[in-house]
Amino acid sequence: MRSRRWLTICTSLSLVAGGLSACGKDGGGSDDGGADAGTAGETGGDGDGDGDGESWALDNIYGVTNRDDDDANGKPDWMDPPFAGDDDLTPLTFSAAMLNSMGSTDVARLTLNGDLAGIRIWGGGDGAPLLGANSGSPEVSSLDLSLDQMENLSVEFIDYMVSSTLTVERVADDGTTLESTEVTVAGSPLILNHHLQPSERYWVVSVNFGGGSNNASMIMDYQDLFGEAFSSVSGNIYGGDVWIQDEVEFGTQVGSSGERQDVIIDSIRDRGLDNFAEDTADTIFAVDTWGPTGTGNSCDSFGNLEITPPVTVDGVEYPFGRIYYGDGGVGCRVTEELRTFLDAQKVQAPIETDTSWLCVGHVDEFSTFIPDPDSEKGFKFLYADTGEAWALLETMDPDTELPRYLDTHGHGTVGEILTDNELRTRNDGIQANYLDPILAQYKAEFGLTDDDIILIPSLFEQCGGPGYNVALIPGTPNLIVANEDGGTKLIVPDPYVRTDDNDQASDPFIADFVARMPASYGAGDVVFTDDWYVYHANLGEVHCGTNVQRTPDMPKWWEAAAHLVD
Amino acid sequence: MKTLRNKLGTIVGCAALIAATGCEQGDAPTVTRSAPTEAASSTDALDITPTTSFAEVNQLRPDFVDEVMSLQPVRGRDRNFRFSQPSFAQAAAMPVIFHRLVDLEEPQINRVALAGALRTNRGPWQEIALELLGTETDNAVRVGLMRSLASAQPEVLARAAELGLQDTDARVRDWGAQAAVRLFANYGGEGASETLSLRLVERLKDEDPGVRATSVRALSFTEQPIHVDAMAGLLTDDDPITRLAAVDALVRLDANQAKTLLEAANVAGDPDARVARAAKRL
Repeated sequence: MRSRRWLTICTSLSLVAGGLSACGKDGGGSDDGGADAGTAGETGGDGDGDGDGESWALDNIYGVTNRDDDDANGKPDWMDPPFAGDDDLTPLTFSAAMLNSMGSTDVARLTLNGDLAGIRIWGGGDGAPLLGANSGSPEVSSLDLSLDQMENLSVEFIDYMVSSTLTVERVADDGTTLESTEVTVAGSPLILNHHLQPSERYWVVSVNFGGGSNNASMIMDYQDLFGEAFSSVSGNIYGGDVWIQDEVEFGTQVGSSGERQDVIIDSIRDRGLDNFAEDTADTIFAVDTWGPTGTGNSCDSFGNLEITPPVTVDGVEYPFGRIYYGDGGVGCRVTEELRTFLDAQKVQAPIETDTSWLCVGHVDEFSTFIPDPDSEKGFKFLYADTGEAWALLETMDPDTELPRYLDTHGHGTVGEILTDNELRTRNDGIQANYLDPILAQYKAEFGLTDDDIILIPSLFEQCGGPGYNVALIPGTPNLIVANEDGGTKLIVPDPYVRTDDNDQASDPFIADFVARMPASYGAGDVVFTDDWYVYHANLGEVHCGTNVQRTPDMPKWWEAAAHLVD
Repeated sequence: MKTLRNKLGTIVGCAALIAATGCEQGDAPTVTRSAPTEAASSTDALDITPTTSFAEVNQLRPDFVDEVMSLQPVRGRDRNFRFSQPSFAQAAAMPVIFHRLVDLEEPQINRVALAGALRTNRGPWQEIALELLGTETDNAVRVGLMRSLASAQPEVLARAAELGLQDTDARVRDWGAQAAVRLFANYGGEGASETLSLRLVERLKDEDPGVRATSVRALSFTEQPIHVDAMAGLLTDDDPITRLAAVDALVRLDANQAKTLLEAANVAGDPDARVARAAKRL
């Protein structure tokens, strides 16, 4: 886990979902038995404002799952007893007022109800957990603590979104409940990153396939742009598998005491990069997989798992955006285990769209979000449009030679594309049957207006059976968003709709793309990189071949997304 | 196959060439921008004819032949293997591609990818590929060959479509139908025999939905309304992609007539949203 702030619950939280904290208020050490036990969802206190009872209160506890490996012993930390370097447990700290209220013969009775197998509470000493998972068989759900046992307690979460209620009562030696409070104790959801978040690290797999096919130029562009933040991953180690976007997805959990747990979702695609997640995780990341390994289809790749920036849809705010992924049709769908998991996280309310018309079947092949700080929503949505491509090609000299297209697609000139009636009718069908309806769905599900959308000239060609297509002109929406201190840069596949490879200024598709970008993008902010032979010719583009770790904004999801979780 | 091998030159020494190159895929070089190699570029000047043999190219440009002989296919994002290196587009690579393609010691994955790599090769590969299509016994290799032939020039395209549509493998028939699509859509059916349309009509009842879908699309470019009834039969096909292809094809052929046919079949009420939407657009 990242740097952790070991704050007491009382000082770190104020208003929390499910209860109003009374921390900090010194209610004194009343032991008169006059306080009623709280009801579910309430904190303690008798509500009369005189202070008695109000001291006996806790805030809800939200924690990160302890699934990383801080001691590097090859086991997730939740399989080990707590140890000094384990920084993913959430402190269960009682306020001074609570401790002061304890009479000499009183006990604090802790009762945990709910998902006992997914949560456990540790005491200060060695041995088994006090409550919850692994505390006994069956799990211990209630326990009395004396005053001197009320320190150094901590809560550990085994899984995401597990939830229990913790009732803490002050009980007199005659068994009378003097004060009571009940709080929610829950594992935080996994929140996936979106394109408005700052970039921290970049990865590209370096390969040389011979015969003039290598990505040295693209690697060089990344090195020039991002220096030490960029890592070139050896293709030799990973079997020449360049599709690093598809192998891992980064997310973050945030706890109510300031914990941050970065998580790598390791895809079940299990190609050459299968071990990349484990190799990269170090002790910082937790690595999790959903679905049976080795059973993945193309739609289980994470170019098919994208996240919008924060959006509002019909008055409902999604402060962490919404997840979207494609249904690639027969035999190509995100594994049920992952879909179920993502649904259960609730805060990013996933939607599924139709990618059955694509050979690869990924949503990143035809759309993306980019920052636009000057706009009301802070972003623009780039979306492939075939009509825009035909219109732009019509402006070009049909005799313009296209050596890259001749090499890979068989079209030697602009005119050969324009007069390819099979290609034109194919793209008309794609636009009418898929791109237009999907855009309508996105507008509805993401609350987009026409002002939010930038259409990007795109053409597709057949690549497999009759209904399967892939980008003919490199899919420029298939790009990388790099949010650096100096602003945003876009790393875009070079479309090469020109004769001279080395003269990007002569490429009308490049000029057109730049002209469509928001005004905040200045010269040099849009970098067109050569992904042709390694990626484009093998049915992918820059986004497919890059992965980016982003910085979460440490959101208090329990506040900002309470309406989505409840 | 013997005749073909004579045309392409001996395959003796193939393994020795691979061993001699010692080239494996690995890390990218750090100093050069991606571009066709000098060896590849300079071979464009060679005059490659259908009878140019592997031995002739090897004699003239041994470095280039070494390179193309050593290359391995790259696994695409869709998991299929391809020879996407630009060297394969050079005309001089054509005899080398065939040399490897007919070498049964070449892994099957490579042979499939080699067959598919012909598609963008600038050499005169089309007649040879057509001949191979008729003799090749490996289904997957025939798929690769037919896929390349679907992008051939019209003089070969018509014969390739005829042959492909009669293949025992549905994937070959599908690409055969796609060859017919290109023939009729891009070349006005130039060189097509009268039987080609009839074969496409037969394929409307193919057991494979992909073949049915591509065949109905091909027929929509023939401008022969005589086949409308047969095409309309696919409006109630079990497969939604085939129904969608039928809607698009009928509209392309005659929008007015299609409207009547679609209404009669209540396609606007199709359970598949894509098909229903297509019908409602009329």
